[in-house]
Amino acid sequence: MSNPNPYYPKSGGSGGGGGFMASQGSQASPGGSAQRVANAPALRPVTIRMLQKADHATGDSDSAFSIDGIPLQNLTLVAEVLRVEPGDTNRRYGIEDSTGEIDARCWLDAASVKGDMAHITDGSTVRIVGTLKVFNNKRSINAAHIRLVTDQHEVYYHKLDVMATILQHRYGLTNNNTGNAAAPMTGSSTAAAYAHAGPSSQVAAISSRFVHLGSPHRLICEFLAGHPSMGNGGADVKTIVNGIKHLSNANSAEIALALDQLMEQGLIYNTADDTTYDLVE
Amino acid sequence: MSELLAPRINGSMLENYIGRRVKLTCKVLQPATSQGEIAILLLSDNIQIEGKLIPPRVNMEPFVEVLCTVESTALVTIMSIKNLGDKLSLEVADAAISMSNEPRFRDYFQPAQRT
Repeated sequence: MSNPNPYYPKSGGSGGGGGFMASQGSQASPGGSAQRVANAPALRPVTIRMLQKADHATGDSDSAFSIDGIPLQNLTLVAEVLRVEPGDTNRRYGIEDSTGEIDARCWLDAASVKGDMAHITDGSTVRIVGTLKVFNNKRSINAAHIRLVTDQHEVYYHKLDVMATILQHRYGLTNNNTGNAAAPMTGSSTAAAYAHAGPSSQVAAISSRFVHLGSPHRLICEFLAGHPSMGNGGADVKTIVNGIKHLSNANSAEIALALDQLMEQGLIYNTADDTTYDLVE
Repeated sequence: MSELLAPRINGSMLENYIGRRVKLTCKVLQPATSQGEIAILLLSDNIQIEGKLIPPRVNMEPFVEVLCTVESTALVTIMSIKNLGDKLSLEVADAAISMSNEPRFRDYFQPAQRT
């Protein structure tokens, strides 16, 4: 079967789709921070500058990185090779993409040595899939897959992919919520193009923490998160319904069902009684 | 930091980068082959400029990316050239370059300032 997207590798790492596809349909999930990790994009297009600025929870090599509050799992980027340092078991590439420089280390096996890696030299443009690591306060990429870029349009495609993913995290998927986040990327794109389903006159400020949720689940979580006065004991059902009814077409029964589902996912919990809810921190 | 690190911009942004190093995606209207010669370049947003070659000898394909120092809005000094072949959509390139330089994305694409 041919690869529908030739810009992403067919094998290796977690290739096969970028920020658009990897963020779809992640509705059923465990609760709390585990859910945020579980629903983070599996493969995120990034720039080296983003990797340099990524937040690191504890600073040790095993803790997770995050970008804009979204955990970073696997990453993909397009960059130019500045230098190649061959080794017995791995090959280290110094790469730059006009936003920054970083090292990428790729462990060798028989197939990789004979394949693309043999043709990667100084000045080559490459696509890398891997993870971000830190050692001795120095960040580097552990490359699971590296290949030559043969179509120069891929350099610009990657920039657009990065920006589209940023907007997706910032504003959510498009209105039809089908994951077809390929809304036309024009210079005049606005947040309205990325609003969730709901009254078209509203542009919801979507928290990146809840961006993966559908309506009214996301609206309920954002209401609880955005009303700190509810922190002592949470909010009862009537207050939640009144708080989101101008943003949602859902009726009371649908909101009650959404509350039950959010409880099952571990995002909210009962506080004072069975009809009062608050967010899990 | 590598001397090759420079933001990608287009012609309309040149005035903001006078004296600084940038990368420009261009169509070569009139090539130059040796040091000191002037090449005529069409930038991704259809602005035409001149590029003075520093490298001793180059071979310019129809589309190139130049690493250069901006002398003025009409003249750059070319440090190095990366050939991009003979089939490149300047429209696609310019869309990516323009958007990546918008304020909402600048933090993700601008290199760290040298200290």
